[in-house]
Amino acid sequence: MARIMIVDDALMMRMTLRKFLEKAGHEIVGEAINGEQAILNYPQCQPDLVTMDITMPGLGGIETIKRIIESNPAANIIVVSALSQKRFVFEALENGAKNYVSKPITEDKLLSVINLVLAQNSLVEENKVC
Amino acid sequence: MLNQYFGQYLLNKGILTHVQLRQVLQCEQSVKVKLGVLAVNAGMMTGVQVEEIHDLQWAKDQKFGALAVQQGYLTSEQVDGLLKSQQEGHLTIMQAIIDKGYMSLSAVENTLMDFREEYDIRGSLHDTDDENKVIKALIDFSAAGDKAELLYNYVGLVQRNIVRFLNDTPFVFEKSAESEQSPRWLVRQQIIGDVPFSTGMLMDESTLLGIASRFYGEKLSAIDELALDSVGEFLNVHNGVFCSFLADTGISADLQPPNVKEMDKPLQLSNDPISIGTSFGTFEIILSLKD
Repeated sequence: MARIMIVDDALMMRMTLRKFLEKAGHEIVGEAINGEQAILNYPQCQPDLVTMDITMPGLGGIETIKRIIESNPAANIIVVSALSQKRFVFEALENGAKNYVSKPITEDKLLSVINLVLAQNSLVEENKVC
Repeated sequence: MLNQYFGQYLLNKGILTHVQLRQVLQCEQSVKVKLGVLAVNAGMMTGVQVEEIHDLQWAKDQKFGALAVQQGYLTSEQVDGLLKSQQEGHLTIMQAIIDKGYMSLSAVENTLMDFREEYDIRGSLHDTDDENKVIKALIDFSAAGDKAELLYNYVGLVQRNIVRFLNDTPFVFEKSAESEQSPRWLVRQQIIGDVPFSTGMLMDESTLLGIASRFYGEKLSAIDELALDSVGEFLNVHNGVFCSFLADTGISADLQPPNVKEMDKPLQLSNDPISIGTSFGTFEIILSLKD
């Protein structure tokens, strides 16, 4: 099970994500309501994975991904956003996000993407050991 | 979608009042569509034939389908097909209108025929062009010039997203028909990009709680951060889908975060808002294109 940090300005989304993730056995190690808070909290929380909103007041999701990846190139970030146009997905992935989930989220959709990213990460870690 | 726009048609024709339509929508979710309504909708039986079978059911303790086959109105295969569509939950609004006693089955049948003829609709109105035909009969965005089509699509999408995300049947109505209190809560979000415009929803407390509860998936009974965020997130997700639609038509669009605020005085609007009714309350859509 993974240690996860949730970044979203909407309390409703943070609560929904927490509910789905805790039910699946993951631990929520931190929450942030904007990009600035996420960058500040990330080193303290040291999460295995971050869920990142794109449209937030202040520092937006894409710029936040960029800055977290700059300081932690191995960070696992998945975008959870209402904006699902190709150019946003492309921009997020290009800046280091590992995957993308469009709102409104369902439990199945969210967990399948998270499990995929965590499985890919385990594979990378195993290969390092070998 | 036929369900949704048929209710709209009844309202516009003055066949049902705004209050009656809202009552119909409130009871719609718990009704089970009877085979007779489905048979009339499918054009397999007339309202008179269905009423004849209903009379027979009083005399003989038999199921509607069996009697309709005996009378030669339906085949067993047609009954099976209707039973399957009954499980899909279509046409609940028609059943609710009949259950409420607002119209007889024959009156519903005739009005449904008029509705289909007037809007040149065949089948179940799954096509977006058919939906826009109905919206255009109700709202005039011609002042928006070449952007009018975008606004019609926006309103159509609001209605579809109420069905998708809030599991309700919306209808558009004229503000003068509404006698409720002035709405106090304004949810706003700016769409920026090639065609910048401001979107908003104006509503009272009970509608806000209705939208928030349905979108969050749990009953919310107080206006707090969770309720305000939930209604803001509904607009955000709706606008996100609209931005994808814009992208598909080659228009680049992005969103600013939504915000919700309580109004201390009535909002002065440059455009007429579009009033949307649902079973849990009414709200107004505010759209303003920027030059």
